[in-house]
Amino acid sequence: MSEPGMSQPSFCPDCGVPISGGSHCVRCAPPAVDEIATPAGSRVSTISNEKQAPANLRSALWLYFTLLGVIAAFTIAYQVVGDEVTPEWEVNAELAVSGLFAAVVLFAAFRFRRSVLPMFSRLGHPGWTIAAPFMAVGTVTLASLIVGLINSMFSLPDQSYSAPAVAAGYGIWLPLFTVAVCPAVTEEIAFRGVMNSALRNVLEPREAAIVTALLFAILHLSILSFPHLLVMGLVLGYIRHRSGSLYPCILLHFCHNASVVLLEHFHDGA
Amino acid sequence: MATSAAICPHCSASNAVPGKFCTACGRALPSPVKVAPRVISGKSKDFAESGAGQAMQSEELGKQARASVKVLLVLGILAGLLGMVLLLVGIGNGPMETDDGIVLDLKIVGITLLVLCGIYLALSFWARTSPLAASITGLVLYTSLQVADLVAAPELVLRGIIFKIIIIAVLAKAVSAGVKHRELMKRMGRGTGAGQG
Repeated sequence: MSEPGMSQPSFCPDCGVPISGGSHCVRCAPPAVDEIATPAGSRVSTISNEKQAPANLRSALWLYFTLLGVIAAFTIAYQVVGDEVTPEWEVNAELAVSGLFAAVVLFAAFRFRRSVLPMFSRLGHPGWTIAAPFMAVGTVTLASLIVGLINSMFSLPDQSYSAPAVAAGYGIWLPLFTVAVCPAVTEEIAFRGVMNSALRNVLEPREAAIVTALLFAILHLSILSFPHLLVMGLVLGYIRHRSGSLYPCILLHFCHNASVVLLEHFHDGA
Repeated sequence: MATSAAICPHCSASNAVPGKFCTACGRALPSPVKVAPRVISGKSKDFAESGAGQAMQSEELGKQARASVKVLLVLGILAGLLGMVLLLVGIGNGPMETDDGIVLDLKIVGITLLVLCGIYLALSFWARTSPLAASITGLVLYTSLQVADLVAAPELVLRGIIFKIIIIAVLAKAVSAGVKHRELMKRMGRGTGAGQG
């Protein structure tokens, strides 16, 4: 026979509100299933063990900062050599950077192949592939207008993508490879492939596309190029979102970079 | 915290379930030990998993995630003020040569800082509605600029190092809190919280 005070509780022992059944009220009731291991001492420890989302975000940041490290190392090497930089050295350095970039991105693509491969296995609507070169005309025009305007205001030093290779006797095909082909493939896999997919695990698709475009513009470390790179990144993000494929993005990126190299080459040669 | 059956001083009922309130009359039970501030830790996982606990965590994490609003605003104001000063000095003096022989056009540096001011302020504004997205971008932008500074002028790396570390730490904490907040919102069945006002 139970004691008078030990019968079914009428009030919640944790908050004191009336209850009609059970040991606690609905708000204070313990979970039915103990599904999360909880390390002691963490203020928000019950959700910190869900590794999936933070790990993916960390992966995107890891890839970004590794690529930034490659650029920083190349810039330091450029400064160390200083006045002794020759066209041959510049060509070799460009090839080395392209190779390092490709190695890092391919490693990341292999590591996250489940996210990247579906974007290579589908072509998307052919309309996007047809529209990509025309969109590149728009991004190149925008880039020319912005860079031309800023150059006319501040008379910034000229930067040539093709001059070192041409001076070293390689012709225009080498800058087309190192400036147009390699970045189009590696940067699209890195940004629209790995980083965008990783960010979509913690952000809405629209936010992920904007953040990816911003990271793409920031990585180039050029205030002069920031506006048109941001617009280009947003366009590429939109195409990737709508088509679900990386091919139109790679084509647009290649057309943009190739146009810049060819326009610069033939403008200087004229 | 009660560890054995407690007798209620109000109704004399014996409370088998340890707690703060009498299960028979609903009035407060005397606390046998001094009660520490209630935090959501491994020792009080039950509370953390309850509705009230999750709401408390969500509020706390949302507050931490929105810390980037102020940080990005401060960075924007500092960049704007410095940019205006350098632009005015640069317009009056033209390019200057430093002791290291580097030709520095303060006008261009000023314009660069004003562009950065605009980006930081835009991110601060964006952080009000999308704190996680803006915090990630702010963290990456600020860290990238520090790396660029390190490469361009390694001798200046220690200048304002504490301020730089604090900025990066606050933004990193905001990103971490933002991720946890989104996960918590998903678990609470409120979507990802994107675009919330």
